[in-house]
Amino acid sequence: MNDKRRACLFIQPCKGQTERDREKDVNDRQLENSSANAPLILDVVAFGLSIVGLCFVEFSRLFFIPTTIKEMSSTTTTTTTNIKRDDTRLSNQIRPIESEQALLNKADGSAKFSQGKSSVLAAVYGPIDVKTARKEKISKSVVDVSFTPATGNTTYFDKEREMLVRNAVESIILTLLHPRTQINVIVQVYSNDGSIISCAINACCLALLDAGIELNCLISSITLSFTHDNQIYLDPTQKEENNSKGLAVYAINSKSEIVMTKTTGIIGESLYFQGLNIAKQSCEKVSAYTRLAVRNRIMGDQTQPSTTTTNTNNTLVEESKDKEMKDSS
Amino acid sequence: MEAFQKVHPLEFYKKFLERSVRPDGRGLDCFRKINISTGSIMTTDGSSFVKIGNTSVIAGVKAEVALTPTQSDNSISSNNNNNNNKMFVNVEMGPICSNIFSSSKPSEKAMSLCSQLNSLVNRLEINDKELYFDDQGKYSWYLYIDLYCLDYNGNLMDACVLAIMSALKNVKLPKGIVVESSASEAPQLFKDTEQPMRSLNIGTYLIPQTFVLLNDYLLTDPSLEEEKLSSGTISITFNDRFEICTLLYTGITSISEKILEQCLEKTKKRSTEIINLIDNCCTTINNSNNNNNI
Repeated sequence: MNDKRRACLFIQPCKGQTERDREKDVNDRQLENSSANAPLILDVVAFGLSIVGLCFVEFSRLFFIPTTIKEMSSTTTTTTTNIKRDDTRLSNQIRPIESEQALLNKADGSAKFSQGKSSVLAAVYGPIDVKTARKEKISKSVVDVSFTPATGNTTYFDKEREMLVRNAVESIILTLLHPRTQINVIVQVYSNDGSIISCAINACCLALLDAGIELNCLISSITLSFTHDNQIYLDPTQKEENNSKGLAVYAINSKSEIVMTKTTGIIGESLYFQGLNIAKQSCEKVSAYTRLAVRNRIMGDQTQPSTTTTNTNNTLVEESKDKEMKDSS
Repeated sequence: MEAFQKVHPLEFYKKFLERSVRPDGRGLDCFRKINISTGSIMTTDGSSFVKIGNTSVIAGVKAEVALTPTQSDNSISSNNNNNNNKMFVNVEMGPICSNIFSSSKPSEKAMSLCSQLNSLVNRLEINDKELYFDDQGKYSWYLYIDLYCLDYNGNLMDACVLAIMSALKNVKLPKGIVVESSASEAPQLFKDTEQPMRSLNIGTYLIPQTFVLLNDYLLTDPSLEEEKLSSGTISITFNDRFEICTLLYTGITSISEKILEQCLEKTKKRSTEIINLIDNCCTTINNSNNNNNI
């Protein structure tokens, strides 16, 4: 498996941004962010953690400062308002993203995508012959998605997720290029800690790129949770999802167009469109990450000493996360 | 003409849509006639039959009594938590409604619809006390709502939501008596037949509306053929305070924000009509029941 390179993430930070931010603790950062016209800052704290001199895991922390969030919480602008989340994240911060490509031998393309503790493996086969003749389409290829949860049998909730992922993925594949064929996408959830549909769509995009299937653009997805006090949390964990008033999943392609959107719970109309703007900004970042991951896999990682890994294990992820926590606090 | 429709359905539609009319004679914003009747199945605790054009759905509610689960602190009014559900929706789409479904296993469409409706039924704001079997609420009613699609001609989501609403409005629950015999034996449950049956107090109305995008035209209340040809489907459900309860867009093309806003506006405009429709069907039934008693 030595030829399978680990896609390392490294997003070039703004000049001087990283050093400055590392010195500050979370609260200071908060103060800085809430200053009047802070532009959209892409704050990247990338870590390379070397274990036994072999494995590299890198994380990025992406910060978004949409003005809408500030306006909403303006009534209670103490420094602690935004750090209500259990994992010390800000409301407009997504969890560390990690990905790995080509980890399956048999599949034409495969990718693992993790957002915090939510982790999904996607495999792509195709274009292949259509297995069931009645599904076959004369003018284009059929996209078939199967979504398998981490534990238990597939329930009707998983069938719905399957449908959502299929719709999102089908919109970016150039299906007209391969008529009378089928493209199989298999999604296996490793662990579910919220935002699982988004995580699955992101994984599928990376796997499709890895399989070399012709796409018309990239797709990325983000979940937002709307709390009872009208806060918008980006990329919620399972607990935040459960305690939310409403949830919205957005899938947005790299042309910044809505491809799929789904809400559950109760969301006010204006909040939904506020969320849409935030989602568009954050999907851009996820797309940027996807691009970088693919580039690093194909051209090699020029920014970091290139390493090959045989596998990644969970403990590794945990350790680096701990380190990250220490670093930020 | 018919051959043209079969061979080039999309071209056929285009010819119509250019003139802002649909092959079935409706304008782009026109919806089909909705018929709702309730109480047609006597063996259920509440039932309804909804017809939107040719799409017909029949709903039956079955009430069962069970111990109320003890409330834990972290599961209050949660969104995705299914532990506290007292209403369960099941959708059946057998081969009777369309030849695209088989009788062996439930189709993906039915399952995803079922999942959406299950989360939607919790948005009805039915108080827990409404479902108490006895006064203390030690036992509660659990409602199983079964929806059968009899004829599938598009826009099933709207039909199902209306069927659920009207079936729940039709539900009559008897008051219960719990007789505790001894500590070791399970208490016996009786229905109090002397007291009048009560109907459920439903906190809000759900206003569903489905649209499809076909050749960049936005069509309201799509038929099956329009759904098949469409490049995207938008399903919206509002409650009566105009908060979004579901907003689902799926499709192979992207959708602009403007169209989304347009759809939300159109749904709002239709709210009074839907509310009247549901109210009317329930009141007429009540009157007829009274007549029967006399």
